[in-house]
Amino acid sequence: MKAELRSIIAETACLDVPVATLSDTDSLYDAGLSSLGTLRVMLAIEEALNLEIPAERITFDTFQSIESLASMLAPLIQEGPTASAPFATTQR
Amino acid sequence: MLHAFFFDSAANQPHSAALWVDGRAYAYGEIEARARRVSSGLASLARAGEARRCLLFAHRSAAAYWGVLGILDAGLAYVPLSPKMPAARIAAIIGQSGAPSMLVDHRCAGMLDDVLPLLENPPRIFLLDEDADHSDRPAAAARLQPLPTAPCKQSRGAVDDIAYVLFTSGSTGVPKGVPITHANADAYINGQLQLHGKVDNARYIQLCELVFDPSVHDMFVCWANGGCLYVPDTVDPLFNADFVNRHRITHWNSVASAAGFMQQMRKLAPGAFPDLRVSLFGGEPLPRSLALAWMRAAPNSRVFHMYGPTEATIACTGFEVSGAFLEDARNTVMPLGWPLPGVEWMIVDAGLEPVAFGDRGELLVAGPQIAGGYLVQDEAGSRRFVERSYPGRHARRWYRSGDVAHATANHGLVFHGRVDRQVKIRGNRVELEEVENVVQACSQGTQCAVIPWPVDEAGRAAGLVAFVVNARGEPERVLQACRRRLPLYAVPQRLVVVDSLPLNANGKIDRMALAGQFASDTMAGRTVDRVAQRVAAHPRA
Repeated sequence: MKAELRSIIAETACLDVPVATLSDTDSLYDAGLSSLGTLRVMLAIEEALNLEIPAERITFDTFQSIESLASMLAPLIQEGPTASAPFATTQR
Repeated sequence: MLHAFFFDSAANQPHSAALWVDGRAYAYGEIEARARRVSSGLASLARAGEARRCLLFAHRSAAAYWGVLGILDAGLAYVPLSPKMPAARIAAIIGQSGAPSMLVDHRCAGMLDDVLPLLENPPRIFLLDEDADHSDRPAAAARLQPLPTAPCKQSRGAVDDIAYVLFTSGSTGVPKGVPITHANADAYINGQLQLHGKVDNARYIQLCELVFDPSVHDMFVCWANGGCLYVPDTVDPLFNADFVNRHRITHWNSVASAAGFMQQMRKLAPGAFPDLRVSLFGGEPLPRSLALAWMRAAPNSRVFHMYGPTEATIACTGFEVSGAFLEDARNTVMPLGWPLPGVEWMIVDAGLEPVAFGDRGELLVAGPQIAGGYLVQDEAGSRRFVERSYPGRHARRWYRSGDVAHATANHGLVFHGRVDRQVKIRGNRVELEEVENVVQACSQGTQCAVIPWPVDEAGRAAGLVAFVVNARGEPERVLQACRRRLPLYAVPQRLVVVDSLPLNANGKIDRMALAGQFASDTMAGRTVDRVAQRVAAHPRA
């Protein structure tokens, strides 16, 4: 999951530093995540996982780190009707 | 005088809250005392022959605000700098400002190490928040000193003195300084006080950074009304969706994009912001779908679309969005509306002759809010201010906005884009020539074109894409170099290396063809591009 998140962030977040230099708990905002970047990451996650993140889980703290994104997504993937859908990040 | 809007309220209600920032509230009296200390310190330093300006390098701190007020009270103009600007741009502004002194807060002091080596004649630098924790002082700290203490003198200055200098994008790559006088700013603030009734216990949010002029509206309209200015830690719309309710904000003022992000992040549920009373949107087109969503989310708020270039002081027209106007689905974008008090307008052709009512042309504006000219007078700049008399108008001196508009009888002025290549990126003014100059220099390509992309149904651009022929170096490296020279919003999100650029019949780069080609390529392309198009697509309600 975190590896997939890293690839989504690398492709869509436009951070100031390479994602590889960040730990799971490092602040994405400190790494240059903008509001536009946040939106792109959110839409890319939804596209890749084929789910819709409920409004109440979309908060400033959710996008704080790879760790916080993963823990927000974990229950959605287990509960969700699309739980068995394969990860589809790399449709090039 | 602009600062009198604060000091008059401070005299009347010293114990009410004037400012909330960094987790605490400050009373009018407390800010006043701090501002007077800054003012007397600065006044004691003044030397004959020096520019009557003071740089302010402070970010979302209480000190930033007593800095603004202290500089104005000392009879100087404040020249704000933002830590979000690259060091090279900060240095360019410092150089152009000619200001002998700079006030810095603890938050921005760390960036001085990057900025000072770029300056030939660094200003005297004084630390604003003298009681902050200095354990992690930067190397530049050796230059930092507290302001001298001096006995308080009574206010100096006249209404034709400069109150602030803001810098906008210049097409040659050099930022253009716009000096605004107290008379300019007073005319705007008085007009706002005339238009909007006073709300008791008003709480204004300051989203805009001090380097952009809507911040002047937030500060001084708020303080003139005896309200409290709330400064969130960040401009992030997701953060502020929560902040608005936590602090029961009554007055909102942002670019339309900030509301657009909130809508796309699903934060504009009906009734989401019940405390808002007045919401202002400016800087770029406000689409009908967004205005509708905002009015539902903030059912107790009046909603205004504001328009105006920095050269005409904050805003010169406004349109109050009504339910009736939104009912008509043909009104896809909010109009610019009607002139604010004291503002005159004219729509003219390329020869500056008036067009027939209802025809499109360049919008000219005039009145007490129009700046006297640019800080550095050059030929291109001075062409923007013209002396003309028009039948039925009092003004003799006009500012050419570069915006194309037409007049309507029912909704005032309606916007139709630009006469030049200026674009708005999330409400920020960007000259595409400036970005092309920087991309060209950083990539050493033989040819370069920058286009706004993606563009939504209301004509708003979310970002830029650069195309370069024969670029040297990896695109990522080139963009990183651009980040060191341009404000973040003006840095292209992507750099595409191409073999050639499409040309039109005149042999010029055909940007329309380029945009069309890019759009069709990316539909089948990478996730990042498809996501970017969804960013611009009509959002879910």
